[in-house]
Amino acid sequence: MTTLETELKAFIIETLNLEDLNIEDIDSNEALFVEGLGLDSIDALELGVALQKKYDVRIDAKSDDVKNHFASVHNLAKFIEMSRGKP
Amino acid sequence: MTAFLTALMTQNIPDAPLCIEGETCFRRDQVRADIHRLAHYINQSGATYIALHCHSARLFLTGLAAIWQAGCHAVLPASDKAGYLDEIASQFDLFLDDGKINHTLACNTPASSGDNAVLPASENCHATFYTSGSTGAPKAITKTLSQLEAEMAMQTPLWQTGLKDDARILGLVSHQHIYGLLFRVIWPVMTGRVFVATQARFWEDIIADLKTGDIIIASPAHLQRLHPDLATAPRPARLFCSGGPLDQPSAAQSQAAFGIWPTEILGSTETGGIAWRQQTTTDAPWAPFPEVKTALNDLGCLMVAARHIDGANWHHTEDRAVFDATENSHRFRLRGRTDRVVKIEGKRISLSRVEAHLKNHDWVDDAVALLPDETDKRLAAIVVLTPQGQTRLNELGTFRTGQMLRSHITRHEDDAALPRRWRFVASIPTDSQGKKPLHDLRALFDKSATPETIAAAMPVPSRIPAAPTEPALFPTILARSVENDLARIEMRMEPGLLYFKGHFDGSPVLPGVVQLHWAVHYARGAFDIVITLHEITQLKYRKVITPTDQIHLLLQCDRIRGQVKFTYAGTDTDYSSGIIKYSKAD
Repeated sequence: MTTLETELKAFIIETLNLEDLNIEDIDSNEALFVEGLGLDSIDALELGVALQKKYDVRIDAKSDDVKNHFASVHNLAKFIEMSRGKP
Repeated sequence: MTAFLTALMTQNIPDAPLCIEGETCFRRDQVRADIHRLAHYINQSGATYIALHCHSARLFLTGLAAIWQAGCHAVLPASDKAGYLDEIASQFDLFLDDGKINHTLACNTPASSGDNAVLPASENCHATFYTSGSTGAPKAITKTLSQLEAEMAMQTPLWQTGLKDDARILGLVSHQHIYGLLFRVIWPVMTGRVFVATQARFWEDIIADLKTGDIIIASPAHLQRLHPDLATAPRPARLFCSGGPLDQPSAAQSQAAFGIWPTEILGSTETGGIAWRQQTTTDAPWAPFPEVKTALNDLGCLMVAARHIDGANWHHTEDRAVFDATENSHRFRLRGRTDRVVKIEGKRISLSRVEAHLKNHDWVDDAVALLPDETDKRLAAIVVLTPQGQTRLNELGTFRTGQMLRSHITRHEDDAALPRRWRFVASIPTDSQGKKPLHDLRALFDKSATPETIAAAMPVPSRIPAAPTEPALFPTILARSVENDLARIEMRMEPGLLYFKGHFDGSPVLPGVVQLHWAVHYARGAFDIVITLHEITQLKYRKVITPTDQIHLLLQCDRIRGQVKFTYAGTDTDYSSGIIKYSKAD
């Protein structure tokens, strides 16, 4: 588990006010939406906005990858690292 | 049928009584003179928003007409309790009640006859009613006189058949609410019928007074508790019932007692009358009033539009309904309330539907959905689990259990309906009237709420008792907190408390035994302990508690010794204190 993944877990819990959920309760590879963590479309919107603010990542809604980027904490971390790598 | 103020202020029906109060008949010209004098007083007072609460419907009518005649806005509190009036105090600048009106009429020299005074237009005459809103705080709803007139003009043709001109109107409901105001005051004045100014509290008050052919304005509370002597009393020509649902057996018993089926009127303060029925069979359909347009909204709830509601705009009710498929008359049946519709992400979400989905789940015994506070964007749920659900909760933890229930709801509802925060409790907080006060439910989501408060949410009476005529048994709770074994409850005494009655006349004092009783009551709720009184020690009464005192009740639970220390604390001195020893349940 990378530092960024841990940070993201804490960020998700805080942003969505997920009570009674600890960082260690979230598996980096489990699905964030529907299955797994069971987040919904409104959570996705909130999370998207908060991520843009905090990590300054541009999320292009038209891109097919959005679903993939948001699939799990692991993917999300990869996506953020990738965005940071860009000039 | 004449416009209200025209009928009251200008119509000349010599010697015809306007109303009866006790043994006295009041004629129009007498009441008219009082209205002019009171209007003169109101004009001089400089007030604009005038609260009016009367026990006499004659003084109420005098006050209401005078307020409007003076160009002012009538504010009609549901109760005259001091605590209640305090809550809405910012909404009026002069308060009139029976005593004040009588005093003013007795003191003020007669104003000029006022016969030449111009009548205000009905659409400029406003009255604000109060209902207990979903938060428990009084909710203001303003109507114009023209709306009230339009409603009675619409209804009157339906009721005229079989009514004699001398039929009098007797009421068991208060004119401070819209139903009583319409039927006991507005309607008789507009149709020239005599009304009885004193509200009957019980059937006994009416039986001796009833004449064949009279009209009775009642509520389900009265029709569910009929008096045996009614069977031999003179038969009324019509019996109205509104204010809540009437069960069919009570409708049938009323028919047996009065010889007529009650005419039930469906409506609310917001809508006024929507529809009517006589429940000759169980679940008889409602017939909308002639000018009321009806349809269902996307939640399956009835929506209505009429001149007396909001003109052409649809008003959404929270009553789920189905239209009668067998005919074209727009008759409908109600299918329960979709209580507390909230808007989330711009979508109307029915809390009752969310609750119904939850209750369908094997893990769930009972559930309440709510918005924890006004600023919350997502729902929360309070759930009582079945033994099976409890087992899963132990395995999964709160969050994952909540997510499992979310995935169940999501099969039926939009994402906006999914609760985000969950409270799994042993029982859902209810008050002494069996209602679930929102502020108690919301308290479970307070950041400061400890697991202990969650486990034993404390029952407290709602701020506004359902039946304002009944004396209160508990003080108003302003705030409370429970931390570990220390509870702090901020309470305000109410002059209407039962225990202030009779001791002592003129200087009421809260009895010591009641202070003890409350301490036990609140300790039970705060600490989730079973108190079987064992012994009370170190009981000290230092200062008397009077009807408007604001007090902190401090409770300290010592579980090892099996005792609770209580202190009724004031700002500088303590009122009383003592130690309650209880036998531990186990």
